[in-house]
Amino acid sequence: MAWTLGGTRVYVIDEDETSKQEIARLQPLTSGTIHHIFGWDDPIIKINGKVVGLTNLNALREMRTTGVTTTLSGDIENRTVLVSSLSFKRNRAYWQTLDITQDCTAPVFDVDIELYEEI
Amino acid sequence: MNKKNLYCSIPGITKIESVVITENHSSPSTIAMINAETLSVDIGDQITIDMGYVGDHSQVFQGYVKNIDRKTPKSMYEITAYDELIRASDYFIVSSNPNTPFKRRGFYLEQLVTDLLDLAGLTLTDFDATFFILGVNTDVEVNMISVYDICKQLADIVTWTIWADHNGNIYFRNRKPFLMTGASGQPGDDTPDVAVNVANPIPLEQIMDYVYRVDEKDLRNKVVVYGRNGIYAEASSATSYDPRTDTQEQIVPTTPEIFYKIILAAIPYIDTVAECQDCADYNLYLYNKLTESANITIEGNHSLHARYVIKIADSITNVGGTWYAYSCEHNLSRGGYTTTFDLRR
Repeated sequence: MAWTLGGTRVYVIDEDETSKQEIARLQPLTSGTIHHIFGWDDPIIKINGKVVGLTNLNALREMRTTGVTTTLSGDIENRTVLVSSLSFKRNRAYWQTLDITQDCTAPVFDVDIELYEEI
Repeated sequence: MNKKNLYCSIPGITKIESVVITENHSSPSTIAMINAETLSVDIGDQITIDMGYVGDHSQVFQGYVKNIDRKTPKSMYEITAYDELIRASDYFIVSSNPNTPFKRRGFYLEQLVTDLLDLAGLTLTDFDATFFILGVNTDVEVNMISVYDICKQLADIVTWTIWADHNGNIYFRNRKPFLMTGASGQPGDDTPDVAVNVANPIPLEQIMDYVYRVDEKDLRNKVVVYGRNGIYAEASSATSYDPRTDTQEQIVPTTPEIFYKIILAAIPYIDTVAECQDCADYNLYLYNKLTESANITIEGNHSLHARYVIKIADSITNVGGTWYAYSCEHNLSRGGYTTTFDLRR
């Protein structure tokens, strides 16, 4: 299934996810460690991939500033996320065939996106 | 492994990041500091804090929201609340006519405290009889002072304590800031202190750290009291109480002569020599002693509070035995739930 972020097509190369529980470790003088479970951090999803065309890139850039949740769709179930950060670099490609709906001279960007999932 | 899920519930405040509740024997009010992301309470609202562990928690605070800070960019609220007795601090007694102030004559001290708290809309839930009558010969006039300050002054005459507990009850009792033996002969000191956790003392396995200390900083071995109309009295002792040995000992220097560390109390509400002398004797008993103290941090215990007598089951360090909890801080955050005590005896 094609990956999209807020409806914008992203050609995902890597995806990784981090989530953790908040566990305090208390150390008494004479016994084993005590664990206090405070809660948990919602998952942080990092996507590395490619985006074709300025229109799609600008759509992603827009998401950095609105603070509005959006939907990440792909080969996992749809997830509600906030765009925390976006970094991109123009790819040294003269011709692209990733997205055949766009001109073959459309620019291709390598993107790294960090998403905070809202559960 | 010892694992516990933390629990904290404050109606009207959610997404709680941290809670710190500070109780102290000598403070007018217990203070609760809460960091949270969302809230529906406002200034002046009454709140309760129930905390501990999932399946094992209780109310540790009741009071009023006095301050709300909104912090950006993290978008967090810092809420400060004070216990019920803050109303006594906030209520300033001012007579509309300076010639007709609030006054009483020939009243027991605890009755006067009751009437003064009533001005601030507070009810004295629990008190003992002081057998101390104020305004025997002249009226006691109260004006231009807060209810708490005047109640504290009255309590200091008999070296008692006024406080509000975690359920909002207000006490006026002979509660000294150290272990009481029941043998002082003072009203309200009838039985020796018994630890609230005597059957289940705090084990060494729950203590994170401790500091043990002995000092004579607060020791005073002579008390002088000035009353109204030139009345005065004094009490002194060459020896002082050492809680480590449970004996009266020579602590301040005696050569070339007895050295007195003196405290003066000027109390315009006392107008008989006998009460002036009682006040001096009570204060000498309060101050003429070494302070033996310990600061300890234990795994969070929601059932213990300041002004409780607590027992520590430990034969290795100096902190074992029965103590008076002079202050208590409950701290729940990402760092876990800990309770820190300043203990005295």
